Amino acid sequence: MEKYDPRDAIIEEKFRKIKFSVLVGSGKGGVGKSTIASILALSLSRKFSVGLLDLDVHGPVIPEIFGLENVEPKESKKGLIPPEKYGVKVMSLGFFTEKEPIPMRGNAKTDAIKEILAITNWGPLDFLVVDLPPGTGDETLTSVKYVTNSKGAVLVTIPSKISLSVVERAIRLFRELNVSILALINNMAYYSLGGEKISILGEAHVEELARKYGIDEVVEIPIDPKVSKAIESGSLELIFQSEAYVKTGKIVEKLEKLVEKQS
Amino acid sequence: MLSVSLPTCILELNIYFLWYEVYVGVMFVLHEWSIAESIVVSSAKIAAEQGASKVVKVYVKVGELSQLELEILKSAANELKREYDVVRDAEFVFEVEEARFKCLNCGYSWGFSEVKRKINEIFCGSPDRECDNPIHYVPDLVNSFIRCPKCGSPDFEVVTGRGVYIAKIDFVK
Repeated sequence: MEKYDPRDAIIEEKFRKIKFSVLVGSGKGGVGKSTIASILALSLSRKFSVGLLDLDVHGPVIPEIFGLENVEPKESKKGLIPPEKYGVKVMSLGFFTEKEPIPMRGNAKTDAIKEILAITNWGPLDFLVVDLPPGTGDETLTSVKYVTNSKGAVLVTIPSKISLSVVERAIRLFRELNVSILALINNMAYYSLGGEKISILGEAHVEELARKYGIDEVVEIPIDPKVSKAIESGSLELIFQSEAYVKTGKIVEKLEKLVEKQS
Repeated sequence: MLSVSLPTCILELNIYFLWYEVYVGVMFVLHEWSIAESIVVSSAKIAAEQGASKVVKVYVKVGELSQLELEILKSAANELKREYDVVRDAEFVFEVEEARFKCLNCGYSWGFSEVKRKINEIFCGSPDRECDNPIHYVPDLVNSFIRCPKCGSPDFEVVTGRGVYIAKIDFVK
């Protein structure tokens, strides 16, 4: 018999208790994935039981966004209990490393992700929002492989030609891995000044890209100082007053229907 | 006015340290339970896949880096196996696999004992004291805290003894 990794079976068992996983990815860094993942988790938590898993191995920021920097997950016989804030259960490698660098290579990254998936005791959840790191390498491939329940991806871009070119690669990868793309988010699409929309980061044709790959939901989110203020002030509930929250409502409705269909 | 006599003070300190030890002990125990559960669940699953009627013996290798307590793993597995008919009578044998590291910068190779005291110093305040630490939960985080003892590089790999795996299962069809 080949050696057998006991984490595989337990990960599968844990995901049986989670109705739907939302993979928030991009391929490109710095487009606001973690912020979007946090907004989606917060929005969903108003009605559902929600977990938010930060899989950005090298740069985990979800604990900072949620103001959970100095918190440690508690232990139970069924694994680590994710700290909870604003009704969202949060897990991240950031809880274990504080500000230390995390210099991991390929196999170690895969192992670290499997370990987190195996030792986290989410309990039953309606949704698990997974914040993927940039790139289409180990972390993305491992997540898609081991997140074994029903899942879909929400991909994030900014309106620049460069970002769109990287995101197109991610779209193609997710399609090949048979993960349906629920929405494409055009983040930081414009800034509203006196009723006028000013494009700061570019005017790339996000809708066109979505059409090319049959993605039926494109959500345009403006640059909104309320979002950064909510994060920096440690009052994440201010996000509910942001336009980003209103605009992502369409995705939340879609997810709601998917889960209703399951039950 | 301070009314506690010196002997009472010492007694209270002793009780405090005793509780601290119990608390830290419990923290370690609980993680072992969740690992034991994954071993028992996996053994039952492998047995089902192989069409086994009964698992006799499960050989488990435990990477030294994970700092898991074998005795606790064993008693947890013996408790948890009762939930699964196919592994109910199985014997779980745990064996430590030595952790070895290799620096990808200078090629130096070393064992866990060479860095264990450093880990204790970082997390427990003394090189001689063992306590709860992040590497116990996610062994791959070792690169965040330890450096190559020869050149100081964080770019090294864990060659053996990282985590837990099932090496062999004896069963009857």
